[in-house]
Amino acid sequence: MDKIGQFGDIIWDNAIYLIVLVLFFMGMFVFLQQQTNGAGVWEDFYAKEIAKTVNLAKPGDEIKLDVQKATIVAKKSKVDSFNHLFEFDNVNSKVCISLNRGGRKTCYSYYNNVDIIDYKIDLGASESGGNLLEFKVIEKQKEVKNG
Amino acid sequence: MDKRGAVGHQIMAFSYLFILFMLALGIVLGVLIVYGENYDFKESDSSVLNYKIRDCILHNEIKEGFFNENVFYDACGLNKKALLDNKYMIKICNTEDCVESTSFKISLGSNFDSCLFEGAKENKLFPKCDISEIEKNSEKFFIVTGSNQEVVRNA
Repeated sequence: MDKIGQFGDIIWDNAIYLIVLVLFFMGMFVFLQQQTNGAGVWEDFYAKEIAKTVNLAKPGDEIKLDVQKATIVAKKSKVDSFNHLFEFDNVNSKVCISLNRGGRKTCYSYYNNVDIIDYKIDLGASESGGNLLEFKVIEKQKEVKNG
Repeated sequence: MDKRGAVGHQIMAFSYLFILFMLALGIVLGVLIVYGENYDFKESDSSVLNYKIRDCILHNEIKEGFFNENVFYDACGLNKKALLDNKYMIKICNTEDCVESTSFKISLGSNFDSCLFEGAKENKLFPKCDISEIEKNSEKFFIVTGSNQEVVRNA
């Protein structure tokens, strides 16, 4: 093989190593970005804390919770709309949180025999200008009505 | 390229990929150790349940049949189906050995013995329990509650 051919081989081999290395670091960067924005951790946290709030609530209560952090995480995860970040399933008595773009939900059940209605996120409604999750607690209905 | 050169070349490629694989494995494991743990909530969950039952007993008239399943869950505002489906435990007795006792007012769930396991306190696979005692009209009630609910993640 002539010298130019050998030189071309060396360049080509190193280029492949470099391409693999760049792809590897891009993959790792995307993985770390997804993990460290903490969507899964915050979904877990909010699901459990909201379930606890519902467990301690009484029919007739109107509850407002500061969910500013959840909306920040959702925005970082490029979630299109805040309408489905928090959902209550009155049939199975559970609250589901989705702060990621893929639509994965984290759900936790509550045992208080109540239904949750009229749940919505009120943007900028807290005293500090943060976002609030608002919902009403009513007695368990035989016919299920969602908010 | 001669044969020895080709073998050396393959060994280099293998070690290169092996190093990348080990690096990826280290990063993934590190991230999972830091971010993979769930927020431990069983203890808080069983405390709230215990509080609700205490509150219910204190604020209701304990008549004959109060601890009947149809009456008790309604009176205390508890959803029996949700409790059963999510591995909650409830036991109410008049004696101090309530966890082990086979004589109780009402019981839901099983494996109450795990509430007494020393090893279970640090083991996240076991339920976390709360045990309390109240007195009403000179009758003592021992309330044992436990939670083993896990979050459910679905696509």
